[in-house]
Amino acid sequence: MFTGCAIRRGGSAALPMIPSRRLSVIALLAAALAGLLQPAEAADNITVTPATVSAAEDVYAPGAGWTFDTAASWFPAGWNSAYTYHTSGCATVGITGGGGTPWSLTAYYTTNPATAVNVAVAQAGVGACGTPAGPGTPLSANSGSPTTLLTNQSGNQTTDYFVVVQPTIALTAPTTITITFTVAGKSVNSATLAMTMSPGNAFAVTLTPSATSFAEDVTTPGPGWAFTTGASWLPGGWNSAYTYYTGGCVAVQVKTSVQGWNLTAYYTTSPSTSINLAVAQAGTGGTCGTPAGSGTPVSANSGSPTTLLTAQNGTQTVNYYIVTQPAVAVTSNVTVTTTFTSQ
Amino acid sequence: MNKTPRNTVMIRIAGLLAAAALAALPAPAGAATSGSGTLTITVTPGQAISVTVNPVTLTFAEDVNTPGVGWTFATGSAWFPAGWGSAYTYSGGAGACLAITVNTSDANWGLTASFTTAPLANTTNVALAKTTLSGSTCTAPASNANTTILSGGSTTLLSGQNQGQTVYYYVIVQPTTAITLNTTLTLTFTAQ
Repeated sequence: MFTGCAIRRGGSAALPMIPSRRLSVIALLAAALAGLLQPAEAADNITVTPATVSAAEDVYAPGAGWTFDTAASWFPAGWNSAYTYHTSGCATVGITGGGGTPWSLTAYYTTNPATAVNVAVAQAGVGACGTPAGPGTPLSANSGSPTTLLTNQSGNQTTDYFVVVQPTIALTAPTTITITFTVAGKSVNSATLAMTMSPGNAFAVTLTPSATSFAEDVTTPGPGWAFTTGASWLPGGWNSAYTYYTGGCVAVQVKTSVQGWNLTAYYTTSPSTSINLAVAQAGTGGTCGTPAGSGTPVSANSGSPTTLLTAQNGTQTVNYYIVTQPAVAVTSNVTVTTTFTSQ
Repeated sequence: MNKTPRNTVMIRIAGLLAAAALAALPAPAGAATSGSGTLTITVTPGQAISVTVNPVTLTFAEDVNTPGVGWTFATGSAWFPAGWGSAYTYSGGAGACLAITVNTSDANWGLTASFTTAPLANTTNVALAKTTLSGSTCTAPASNANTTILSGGSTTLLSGQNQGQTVYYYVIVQPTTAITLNTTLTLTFTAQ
């Protein structure tokens, strides 16, 4: 039987004793309230560290703590390029006071402004930030059906994650990507990781080799080059030209996380000379074989470049035979510059 | 009086300010929604055109009955130049006739020919009748419409040609005297 109680409010001073009849009512109310509100499970206490990070959609310099990778073991299946937060430590989700009641962890993400971004997390350890043992888990962008990351956990736990962000467009304005982690099965409690991603160099185009030369000499044009007549890779109407292919292709590598990009090209000559140029796709990745079809003449007009590829996703390497057709006998050196652009 | 709670007002203002600030943020100077790379090719002068003749040597006897393999003597042929009543023709016989292959990527080139005789000059007339290859043999020209008499200097056979190609000719030789010494007839083809 209650005879009284001391209610503390902030400080430590005790209130005077309250008469027992009134205390009985209070005790009953307290008991009822205790029945309605279960004792707070310690798992309710969820934190995410750090709570905010920033990055740039820049394949060269994504920012401290981030890397841009074209392949990583922690990427979800099908992802070939993305930005990962991991070099300054992981994103740590701490859940304390779990007690003996099992709990589960879910997560979803939002973007502001709405932006085409994929997000995944890869568990890098429990209480330690190592290399994830397997591919990451794509997160739901739907708060109504978040992605389950952990189930049937108990007790205190600190889980470390690599955070993988894949902008599928080239950002034109800063975008905030917020991951909300929620402890489910308990009184709901959430914590967020807010990532601000700014526009940067969303694409990198690299050519290997980036420079070569040949003599307009039908017999010995030079290393890597051959004078070809009637080759299958010559564009329609071309029966003679110089082709760069005997030592390998010219590899055009586009690094990006953007999906649906196109590749265009145009060329210029200096001094201005009547030279035609075409490319013939000889394979992707490490393949440089005989092109399956005829080559594509490249525009000499920078204002209307030739489209070589469309609807490409992520990082790609495309290998080309380079076909050059001087229409005059050059009398001095001519520089032909071909510009490949992805966007 | 029902007033909007002060803190709510502040939050809204803060939200508006944040949104305005976000919208006002310029894209970084290095921001690019495209990427480019360049390939530089240096083209240097060289042997831009080559001419190959096949066969490179021929021999025939000034013998109206048996001039030799690939050769015939005729007193009248459709491909003879006008006024030539008799001459020896190299048609290749069972093989191809004279093939001139020009290798180049250039446009608008021309082909010329000239000839010399040694040891004695001016002992022979020479003409070329353009024809086509059909299978492994050359087709006999139906007329002299594409026959060209070579002059003492350079004679134009083709003009305004583009890229590489191979052209075929019947070689028509008309000794104007009965030779008593072996005579070498040299034809030179030039593309430019």
